[in-house]
Amino acid sequence: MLATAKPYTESPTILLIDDEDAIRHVLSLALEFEGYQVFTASNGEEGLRTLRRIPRPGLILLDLMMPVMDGWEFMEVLHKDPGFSDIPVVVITAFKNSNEIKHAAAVIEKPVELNELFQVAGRFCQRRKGGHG
Amino acid sequence: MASRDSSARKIEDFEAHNTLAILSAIVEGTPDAIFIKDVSGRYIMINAPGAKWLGKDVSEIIGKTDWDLFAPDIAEEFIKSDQKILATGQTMNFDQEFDAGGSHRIVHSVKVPYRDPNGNIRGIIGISRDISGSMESKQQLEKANSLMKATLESTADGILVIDNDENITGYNQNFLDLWKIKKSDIDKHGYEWALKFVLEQLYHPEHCLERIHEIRRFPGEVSFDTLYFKDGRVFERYSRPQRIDGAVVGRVFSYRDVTNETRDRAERENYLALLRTTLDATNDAILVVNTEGRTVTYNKNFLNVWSIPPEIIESRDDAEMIKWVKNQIKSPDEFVKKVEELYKSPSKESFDTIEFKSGRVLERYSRPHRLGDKVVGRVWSFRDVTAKIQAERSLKESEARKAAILASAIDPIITMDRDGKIVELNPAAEKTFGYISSYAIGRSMDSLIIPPRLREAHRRGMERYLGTGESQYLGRRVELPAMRADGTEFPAEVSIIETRLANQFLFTGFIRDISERKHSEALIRHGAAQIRALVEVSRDVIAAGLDLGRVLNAVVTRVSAYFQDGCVIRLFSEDYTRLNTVAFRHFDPKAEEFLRPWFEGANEFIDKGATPDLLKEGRPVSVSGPVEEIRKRIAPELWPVFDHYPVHSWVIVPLRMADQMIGTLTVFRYRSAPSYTVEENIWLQEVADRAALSIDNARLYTDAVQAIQLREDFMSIASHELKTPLTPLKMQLQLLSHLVQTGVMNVGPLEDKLKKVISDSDQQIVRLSRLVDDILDATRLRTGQFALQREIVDLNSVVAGAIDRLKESKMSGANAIEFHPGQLKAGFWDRLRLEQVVTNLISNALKFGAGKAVIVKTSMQDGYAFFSVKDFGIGIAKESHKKIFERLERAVSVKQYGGLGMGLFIARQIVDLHGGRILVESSPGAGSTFTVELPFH
Repeated sequence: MLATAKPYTESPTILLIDDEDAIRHVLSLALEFEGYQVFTASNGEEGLRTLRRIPRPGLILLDLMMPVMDGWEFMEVLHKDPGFSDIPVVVITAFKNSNEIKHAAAVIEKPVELNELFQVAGRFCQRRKGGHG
Repeated sequence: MASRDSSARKIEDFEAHNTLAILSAIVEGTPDAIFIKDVSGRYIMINAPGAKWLGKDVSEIIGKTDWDLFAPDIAEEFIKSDQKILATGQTMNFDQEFDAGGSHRIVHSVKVPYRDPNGNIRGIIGISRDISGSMESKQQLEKANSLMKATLESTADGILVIDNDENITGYNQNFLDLWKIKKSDIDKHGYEWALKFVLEQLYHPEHCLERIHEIRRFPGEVSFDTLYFKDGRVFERYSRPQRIDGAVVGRVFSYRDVTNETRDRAERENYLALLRTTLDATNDAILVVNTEGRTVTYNKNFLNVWSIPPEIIESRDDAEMIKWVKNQIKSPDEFVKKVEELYKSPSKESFDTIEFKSGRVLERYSRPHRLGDKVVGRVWSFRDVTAKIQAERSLKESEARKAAILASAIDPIITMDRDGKIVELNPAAEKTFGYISSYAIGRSMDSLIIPPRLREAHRRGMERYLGTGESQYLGRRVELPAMRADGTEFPAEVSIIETRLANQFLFTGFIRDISERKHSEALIRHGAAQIRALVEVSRDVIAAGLDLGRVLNAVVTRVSAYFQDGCVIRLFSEDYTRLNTVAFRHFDPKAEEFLRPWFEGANEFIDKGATPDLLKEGRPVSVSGPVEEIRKRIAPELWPVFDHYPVHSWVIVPLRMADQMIGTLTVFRYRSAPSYTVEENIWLQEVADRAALSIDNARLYTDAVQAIQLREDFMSIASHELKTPLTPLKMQLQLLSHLVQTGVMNVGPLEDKLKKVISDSDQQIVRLSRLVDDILDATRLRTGQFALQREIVDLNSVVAGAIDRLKESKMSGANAIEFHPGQLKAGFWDRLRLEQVVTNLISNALKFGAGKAVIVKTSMQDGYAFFSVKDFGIGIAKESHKKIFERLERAVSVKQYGGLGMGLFIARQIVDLHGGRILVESSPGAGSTFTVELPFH
């Protein structure tokens, strides 16, 4: 069902915010192989700074537990910023009861299944040519 | 008639024999010649010294007459005097010179008629003394005889002497009194009769008789026994051989009435029985292990006693440890067998003695270590008793060598002359007072054993007696303090008898150390109050359990309340260089408020001066005196405190574990109250002995708890750290798999192999992360951080979901799962935890199900939901049914665990938390059925 959903935006850009280097690295690698342009940040504050310097992303992938500024704070700030509040945010979390996360467009549970990640990304973003999958 | 004659002869023979026996037992050792002749002048007996005078053996003389032995003129004189005695029945005294056996002798002889019971003269008894020798030997003989008689008559013990043929050769009045025997009876009927008479009074005559037989079999052995009377009296019997020139010629029995001592002791033991059972593990070396045999904790002594190298103790491996200690002991196999037996019965207590190859001897005591009702391990204590046993052995040896009667007296005996100089003292006196004979003899008795304050009174008493013949002590038993060589005193029961030899006065004192009795009396006298207080302390200490702070608090609170004073506990620092104040309490809150900062700040306080004495002596130190004197003993910086709270009396007692001091217990008193009494000192030491055990136990326990907490913390952190890299690792593998599948990575013909490697790795990661989850869960369960999140749950859908996921994961055999869902209500459970249980049980069934079908069922009955998993695999042995639900670290061996991990333990805990249970039915080869019962709410 997800696979057949239409992309929300034409942008091939994804902003990935996660404090763990290894996860950031493997996720961005996977998404790049799928044909997306990926920018990364290691916490909410860095994410907000990055957002202003990169092409407007079609999707933000957001971890919740992070130092400096966590995922919840990031979403509150983003939600109040009229320039960015309409960018869909997909939360990646180990919490089981994730329904209650405000302002999230979707939730991916940890450990992340790549197929699920690709399906969710496909719902919101347009892949660039040359992507695989 | 004939039979009457023969029985009469028997009696005569017996009498004759008896008389001979008495003579030979008492006088055989003397230098006198003693002989008996019949009416026809034939020698029927002569002692060894007599035969020696004649230069012959005894056997050469028996049957001969004086004609055969002496020159005719001498023989004639002897025979003439004999005939006069036979004719008149007179006693004859005369001196005679003669040559015999190659030497010239002047002898003084006494000859008396020897009569049978009818008064008919049957022969002559003679004693001849060589008076050609010095007068000294004569005196010595008299002294020895007098002392022996004195010993017999004035020792408090009842004494019976028999010869090798069990003829009575001597007894004293006390013997008759103790056994309620009439003198006329024993004289008439002899030993056999006396034995029978005595046995009838005993509670266990057969036991006593057995010991008598034992003595007969081993005439050279010393023997000790306790005799219990039907009338409730208790005697101690002590018996040793009587020897002459090394040969056993008879036996001395001493009896002592210990009824009162025994009763006092029993009473005390009764009061304290409750404590003893809890605290009886007095120990030198301690090892605590858990039920699996792993070391939980141990003390320094344990390492020292067994010389265990650090790498072995640090391995915490019991098997390694046993291997190490095994090599040191005499019967290693027996030891190992015992240890194994004990591990099989965790609640068993056991006591044993272990002999080392080196000759050392340890007492081993092992008891279960309990927390509440649960046995959580085992405490091993070892006590080095080598010195004790060696001392016992050498004591036995030296005692065996002692001469008969004097040494057989258990109590000290000291003889002095009229000038008060010591003439003789027996080994018991040497031991009790700490002087050796060679030092003591010739010194004045009062300066050695009478406390200085009583010496003047003693001297006056002696003067009065020598002047007037009046004495308040002589011939009576009186209680007096006596003093040892080290200046310490003990209460003694003294009886003094006087013996006069020619113109010499001798006074012999029989002294009995009654401090044990006094101690008992003191305890009984103060009994009600003191023992109640003691029991209260003990009860509070026990109630405080293994919490060190509470134990210390209980002790200082009770003790300060009992004395209405201040009380301090100090414990040694780990390196034994300091005594740290760990608890302080004062009965008076104001005093407590004032003194507390001083005690908490200073680890050496007002008893600074006395503590070193205590450390040196290991005995209680008691100090009291005028406040001005005490002040001088205190460091000047403490004067301000002292002036505010002038202490005039304090007692410090050691807190001892076996021979080791772990600290001190002090009480101290403000100037208005009297000094501490001896009874109070004793009481305080009793408290200290109990407190020391509890303090030591609590310290051990605190150490153990800290170690466990440390491990839990480590496990928790370690499992989180282990989990962190797993998530990216799993994703990297997924990515790799994705790239191969989509052809981004082209590996040509190796594609299938690579896919297999990736899928295998993925399975391993899943397993690894499940294991890490299990460790986390197990840690949370142990520390009680595992909380259920209950919601309305449909068990059937949980089971169906779990089966789907197992099939998805392509777990081998997953397709063989048959699910038969039954009619079920929804329950109020933790969905995710339940899913964990279901998944665990089914995947175990697949793993051990030998590829055959796995049948899963649910049902409902009597308010319970049932979930069961049945497989047809290898099954589980009955003895393992309980173990498989226990934590890995508790199971007996990894082998028996069969790689079940922590899953079943966690499953069971989860079911327990839900208020349900988990059961297994299984036998080897027939498969297993696991059933979970869950209450709906």
